[in-house]
Amino acid sequence: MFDETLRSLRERPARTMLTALGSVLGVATVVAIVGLSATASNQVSLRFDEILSTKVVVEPASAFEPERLQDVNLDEVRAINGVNDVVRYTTLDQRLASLRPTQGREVSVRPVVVSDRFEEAFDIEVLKGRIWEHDLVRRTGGAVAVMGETAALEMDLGGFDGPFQIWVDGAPVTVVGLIKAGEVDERLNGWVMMPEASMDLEAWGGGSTSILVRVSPGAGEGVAEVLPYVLDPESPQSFVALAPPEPEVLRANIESDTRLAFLAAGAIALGVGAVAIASATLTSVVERTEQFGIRRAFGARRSDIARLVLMETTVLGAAGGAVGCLLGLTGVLAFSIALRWVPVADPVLIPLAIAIGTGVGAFAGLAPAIKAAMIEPVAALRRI
Amino acid sequence: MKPMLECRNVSRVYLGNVTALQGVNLRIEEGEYVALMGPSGSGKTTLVNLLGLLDTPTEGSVWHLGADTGTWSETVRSQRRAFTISFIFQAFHLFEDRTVRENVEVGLVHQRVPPEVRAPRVEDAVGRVDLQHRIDAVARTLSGGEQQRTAVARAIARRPRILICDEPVGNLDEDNASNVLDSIESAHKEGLTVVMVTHDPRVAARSQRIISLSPVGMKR
Repeated sequence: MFDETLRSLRERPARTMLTALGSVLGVATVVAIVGLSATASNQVSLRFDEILSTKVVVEPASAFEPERLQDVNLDEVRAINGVNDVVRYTTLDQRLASLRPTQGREVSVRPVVVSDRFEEAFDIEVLKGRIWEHDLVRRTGGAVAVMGETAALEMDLGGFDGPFQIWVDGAPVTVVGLIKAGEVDERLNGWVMMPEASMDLEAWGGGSTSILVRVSPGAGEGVAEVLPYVLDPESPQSFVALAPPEPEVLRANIESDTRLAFLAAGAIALGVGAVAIASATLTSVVERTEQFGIRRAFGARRSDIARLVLMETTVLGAAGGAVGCLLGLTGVLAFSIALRWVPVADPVLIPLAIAIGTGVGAFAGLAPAIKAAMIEPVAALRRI
Repeated sequence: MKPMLECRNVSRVYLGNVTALQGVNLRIEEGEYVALMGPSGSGKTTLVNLLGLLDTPTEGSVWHLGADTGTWSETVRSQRRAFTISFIFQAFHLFEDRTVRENVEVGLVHQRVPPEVRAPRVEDAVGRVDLQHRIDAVARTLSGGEQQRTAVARAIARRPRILICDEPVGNLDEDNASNVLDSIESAHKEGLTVVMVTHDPRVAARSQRIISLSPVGMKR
């Protein structure tokens, strides 16, 4: 029967190839999706690892002491082995800001008071203007600020072309630049950052203070361990230092989330492939009614006819799965080369793709097989 | 001796009220060569479909070698068709995209003849209809006569006991018709029971017995 199946498939190569296309495209989509999701997850996790592994955040252990970090000496933190940058930032309550002292449109903003060299620790990009000059601010004590790009947009400051004045809760503040946050903390985009040196925090009502410590890769855990002792040797329990998560755990979480979503899309692609095979095979069964009639006249049982059609779609599904796997992997490779990513594909994908193609082919063949088996020889031969 | 084929008061009514055959009785002995004649609508094709187990009567019974085929399951009828009966049709009914060899082989597949046995049987049958030189030609490239000779080869390669021919030369010119009829006659001489539907008296004259059908049933 298998050689008959191959002969049937060889009879009309164009029809055979079109029928197999359903499996090819379905499996290629699944392989590409799985391969790309693995590649993308790997890339995303690498990127996350890179940032998270260099970031330690210190916060007060008690919510009742939000100002606990305001007076610690940052130079001592900088002296810890493995620490590259340190910034202290105090987030204040939301305030109303406007472009005019009175009667202007008021927008809610969050002022954040930052220590020197915050731009290095937060890894920000200056879009327009500049960061204030730290020495000048220290000498003059003027109220200056830089704004995150989202906050600036909300205040209609997209066309920034030099320092300008805003009023925060009625107090004048000179905005000297617009910034874009790096991946270290994207909240900065919505903040208005002002230098510690020019701010009287008590006058502003105080706020919650944290310290961001940027460390060399691999140093996070060690730094997080010693930090509370450096900040206050007598009361290290007053601080919580959040070390970077284990890279493997992070990667596994990201991969499982993205894969699930991508696999759902792949299942839909396979469903469409199965429908395409079933539809093409149904058409082919109708076209070959006379052939099935002859086979029945020559003694084929209904089950023989059903088996013949099922074997055809199964073989097509398997072959389509192999070709689809090849196409999918080629797609992953091309995509990775174009983006300079490291292509990631599990070798088990190859037999799995062929198995999926085979399954899809067999499933898609059920309806056409039943239809072919129901053909009555007399009716089929009377058609001509 | 039990007849090879027998109809006892057979009727066939289609769609509830179209009567194709009514009260037909006939007996065909093993090794006989019988021609079925009659005008259009007399039910010749319906009768050979019933004799060839392609259809079932609405009334009466069809007997094969003394067995009532009405008691057979669909599977048994398929097996009987596979091992006992071969057909030759006016419209050839070849697989157009397959070669002569492959077409003849199709007839053996459902007899479960092993592939190594098929090849010599196919070549022998093709030789008997003088088509060796066209054995690897694709069916749709053959002339009408060659196509029908392929159909004859397909039928006789199966080594059936009964050969049912429904207007086998209706579409052929005189020379080709003669060739095809010669092949059928030679198969009959080897012991095959032949039932030939024809409207051509010259074709019928080559048989041993002529049975005439009229729209109301069988005359002789």
